[in-house]
Amino acid sequence: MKRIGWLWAAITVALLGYGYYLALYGAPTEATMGDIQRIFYYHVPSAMVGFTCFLVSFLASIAFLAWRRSRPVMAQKADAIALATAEVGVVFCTVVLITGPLWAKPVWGIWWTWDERLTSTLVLWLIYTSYLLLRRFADGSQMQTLAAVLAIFGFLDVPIVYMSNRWWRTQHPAPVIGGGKNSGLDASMWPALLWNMAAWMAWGILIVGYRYAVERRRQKLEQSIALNELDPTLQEGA
Amino acid sequence: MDRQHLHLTLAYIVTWGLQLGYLGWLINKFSAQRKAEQAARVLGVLKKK
Repeated sequence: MKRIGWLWAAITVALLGYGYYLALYGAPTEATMGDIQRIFYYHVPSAMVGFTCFLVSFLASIAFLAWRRSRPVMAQKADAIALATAEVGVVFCTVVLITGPLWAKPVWGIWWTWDERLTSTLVLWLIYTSYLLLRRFADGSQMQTLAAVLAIFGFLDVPIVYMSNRWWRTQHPAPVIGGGKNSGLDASMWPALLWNMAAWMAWGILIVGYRYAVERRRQKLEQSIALNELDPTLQEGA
Repeated sequence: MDRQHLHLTLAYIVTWGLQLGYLGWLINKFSAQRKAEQAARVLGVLKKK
């Protein structure tokens, strides 16, 4: 398992390096915006990986609620996945919320506007930040249940964020992927976007895996301490 | 450096900074977890490897 982890890390570093090269030097300069458009190659993949993380957190939270009585070990694993993906999702969502205004200021002339896409993304970030705060400051099995419910309700905002610039006329640019007629990206810009998507997805999987491993170890230690407090002979016999 | 390139540079620094900062925090958390496990083994709470 460790060997696979190191191999995955090596592939990820290579992908990130190549993605960085394509984003800054490989892709052509956009005709109207100029070099500032290159933020797009980090902004969009970060949003994609963040949303994928929240989707996995949503599914793992459902699994936790379904298994918490019948299959406790699987439920704990699902809970660890939900936490790891939510945490990594918040990191990616933070990148999206910072790189967006850094692009907007030179292009729009403003850092921020309360349009549907930007506002729903900020709400998404706030929901998952409160999820992490709940997990940080509350304790016990009830906390896990409450957190799972919050992750499920929180995910409902992801389709709203995704569809917001399709449903409403927003300041945020029209969708590049699946945006319908007259939308899309110049063919010469696709490699930079796709390689960066692959690279940041690989990075996301790597850190989610690492975070999951840390959380599982914490759960096992906590379980041992609880068992020991209940009956010290249980651990000696184990 | 003009404003466009300053913002582009900042965006890349923020992206890498946040991701590597999170990785650093995670490594620190893993290290603390291992120390807690070692202490638990010494106390007999956790089974020895």
